[in-house]
Amino acid sequence: MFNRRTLLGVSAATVAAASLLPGAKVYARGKAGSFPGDIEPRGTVGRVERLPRLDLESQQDFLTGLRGWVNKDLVKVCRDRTTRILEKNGLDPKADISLERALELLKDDPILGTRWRAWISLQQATWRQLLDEFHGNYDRYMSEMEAADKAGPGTLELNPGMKLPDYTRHEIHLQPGGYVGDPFAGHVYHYGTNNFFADRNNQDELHIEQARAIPPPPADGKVRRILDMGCSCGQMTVALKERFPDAEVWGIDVGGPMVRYAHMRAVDLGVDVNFAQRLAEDTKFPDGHFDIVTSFILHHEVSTEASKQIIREAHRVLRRGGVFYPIDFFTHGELSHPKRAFELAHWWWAHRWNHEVLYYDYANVDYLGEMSKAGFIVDQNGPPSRSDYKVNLMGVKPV
Amino acid sequence: MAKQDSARPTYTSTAIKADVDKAVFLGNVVLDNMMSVLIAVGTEVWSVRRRMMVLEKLLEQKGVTADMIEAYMPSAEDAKQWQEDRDAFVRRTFSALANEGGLSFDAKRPD
Repeated sequence: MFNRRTLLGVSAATVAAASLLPGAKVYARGKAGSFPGDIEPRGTVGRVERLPRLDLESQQDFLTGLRGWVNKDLVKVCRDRTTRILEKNGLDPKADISLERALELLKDDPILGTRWRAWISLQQATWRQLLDEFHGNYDRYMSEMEAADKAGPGTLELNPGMKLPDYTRHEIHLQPGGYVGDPFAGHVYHYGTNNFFADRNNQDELHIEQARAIPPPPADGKVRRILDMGCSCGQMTVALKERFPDAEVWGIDVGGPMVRYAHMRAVDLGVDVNFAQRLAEDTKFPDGHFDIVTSFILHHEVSTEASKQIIREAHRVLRRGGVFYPIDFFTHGELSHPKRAFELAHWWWAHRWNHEVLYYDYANVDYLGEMSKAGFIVDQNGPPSRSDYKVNLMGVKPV
Repeated sequence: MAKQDSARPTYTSTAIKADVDKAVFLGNVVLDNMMSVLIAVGTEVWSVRRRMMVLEKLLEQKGVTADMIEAYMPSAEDAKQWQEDRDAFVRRTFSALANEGGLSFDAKRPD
């Protein structure tokens, strides 16, 4: 059933995205007061609440623009410069090189240093400004979340006594407190990643597109239950419910504040999905429970052992004929770590300084092998998760 | 940051803190710090400019109030123009960072 929220403030983008899907629904925020205690001081744009102050919105807008310039114009200069540095040292810029040699050649270059530094400083500014807002109005935002905890549709399960593996406690992407250590981690992650995605995902466009790409199980096409592993603030989980309106959809994440925010947002949107603070490698769901198990950029943020266990867990909770569809850096056909100088230095920098702590764990996992070992029929040429990709890795549990 | 109220559960755990504040990318921590300052200044300047754009739009009408300014919603056309203005602003203020230099203080004049 459509409710009033589905009919109010729906952006053209979300309508267009979902209108391609027979039976799909589109959710968007309505007026403040979607649940008792809901606050939206500056209203909404489609399915996103406007940031609560004009100045904060403008500061984030500036950082989005600067990020775009750093990632495009400045990176182009850095790539050209890397080529010249390699040639000056008698090396072929198109040849593979070791990480050690790449760092030796590039680490002290002032222009590359400018790129590394600018990105780190703007990333820190992004988080800091958002955190200042939410912590500066602690009672207001905490009260809103507490009110949403008890509201529906959908359910929320929090497990404050859960033992967290150490790998889950890092400040990934420099987000202060990471996914588990700050009570407003979900708020900050949502707006911070809107900034990161350069305004291309403010209406969950990327998540909607990816949810749309996931194929139903090939054996019979039946989709009754879906699991979104490492759901963060729940954008993919909501998009999955839109894609499969009749399915029971679950989003799980290790971060209590993440699923809390995800639930609050889903309640506000009027979407009947379930969130739980659980580990992807130990979901607690019964064997054969789900028709589809998916994840978006989860695997590069978990340890090698956890990643292998997550693959096994996905196989366990899928029913026969069910689909495993992970989306991450190397699921689009390129299954290995880059080997040229600039990319090597970039990924080392991302690992070391943007705190992609588990990146090398991810890059070193043999996903095809692990998926096969777990029992999946592996397809490297599954349907692409986005229009700019050609394929995506997927596994099917044999019937 | 506000002190957390221990009576209100936050469902958090202790994070492992990043050490990025110690990172020096530009050979001199002052230069690194200057970059952070520049970016912070940039956010402030852009905030003022953006607020002014809101004001200018509203002043075209009558009876401007603070609430009206806070609640102002740019049109899709305005938002697109503002994004273009923003990107131009970024290029204008930060393009110098891509200057590669290359001449030392005692470099000879070209012939």
